[in-house]
Amino acid sequence: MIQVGLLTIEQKDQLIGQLYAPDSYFNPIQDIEDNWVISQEEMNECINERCLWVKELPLIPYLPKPDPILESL
Amino acid sequence: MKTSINTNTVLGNTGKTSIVLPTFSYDCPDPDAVAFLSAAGVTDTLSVDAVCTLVTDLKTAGLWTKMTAVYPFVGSTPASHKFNLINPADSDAAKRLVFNGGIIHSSTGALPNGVNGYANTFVNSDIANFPIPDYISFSYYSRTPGSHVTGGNVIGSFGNPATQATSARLLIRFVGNPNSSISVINYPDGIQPNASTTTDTDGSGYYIGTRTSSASKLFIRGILRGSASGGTTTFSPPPVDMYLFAYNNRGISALNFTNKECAFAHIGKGLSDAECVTLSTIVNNFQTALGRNV
Repeated sequence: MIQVGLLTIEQKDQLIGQLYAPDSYFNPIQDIEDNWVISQEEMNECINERCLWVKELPLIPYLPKPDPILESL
Repeated sequence: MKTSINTNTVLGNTGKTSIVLPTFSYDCPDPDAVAFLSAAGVTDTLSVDAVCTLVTDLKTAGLWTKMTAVYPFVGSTPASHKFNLINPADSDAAKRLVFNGGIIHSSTGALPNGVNGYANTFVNSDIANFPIPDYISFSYYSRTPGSHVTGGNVIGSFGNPATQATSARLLIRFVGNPNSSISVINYPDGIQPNASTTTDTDGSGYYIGTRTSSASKLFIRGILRGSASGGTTTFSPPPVDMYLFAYNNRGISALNFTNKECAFAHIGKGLSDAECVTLSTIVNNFQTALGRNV
């Protein structure tokens, strides 16, 4: 099971538009339960000093939202 | 024989002093290849030779002018992977990639995580940019075999969730249909958009989706694997930027992420069968030269 970092809404807002490494932006998304999460790659690779707190985020199992378009193909 | 091109830059030519910056001298006769390599900061002989040959082959085959964006993924960082071979300027207008979410970059390509990793190509698939009779094509060199547990869209854009209309997408062994791959390209010309395989048991190799005046087609490893024609479709490709490693959902979000490592991708005008076969050969030779073909 893939694990992802759990964000509060405030933390999500802080990460939008921020780089976690050169040429690589954070991309918070919502899981199936509408939790805001980021990937472990973003947590592990983050060298942006303003965002190093992401390395301490709690991990939860990732359950994606179903894609209604894909399932009807 | 190759010709050495010195790319030194002369600055500060005020009539008093000229400052010459020491830069790399590429052993490659093609200025477009040199411009890309210089922008990407790629200097190793293997990559220089491979890119130089790639550009020469595309031009010789008449494919260069049909490409809007080509992403060769040479080098090993996002700073080198982001550049468009056709126009290697560091700008949205030049269709350079902007990476978002989890993506691992290495000398074998860009490996998205299948969770939230995608890249904006800034290539808008609007019919005004890809009009009839040229249509549109796109491709993805996957180095990762197998089916998707989640997602499966490797490149694309989407416009209308209610009708499935306005799509330009390529999906490889996607969730919900893990033994099938599909190219979906809408045009208002009465051609069915869904060119799909019924049995794709691989998931790696070079995939091309293309439209022509007579059919929507899907090529895998240089072989025509899916074709659709006829029908009543009246929709157009969506007027939003195409994403890599996911699809652009109406300009609102990226959806349906892939975890397949990408070693080459393109977006351009629609290609004939012969052109798809030729492009497959050129890209396979490129990957072989870099020692990362699958």
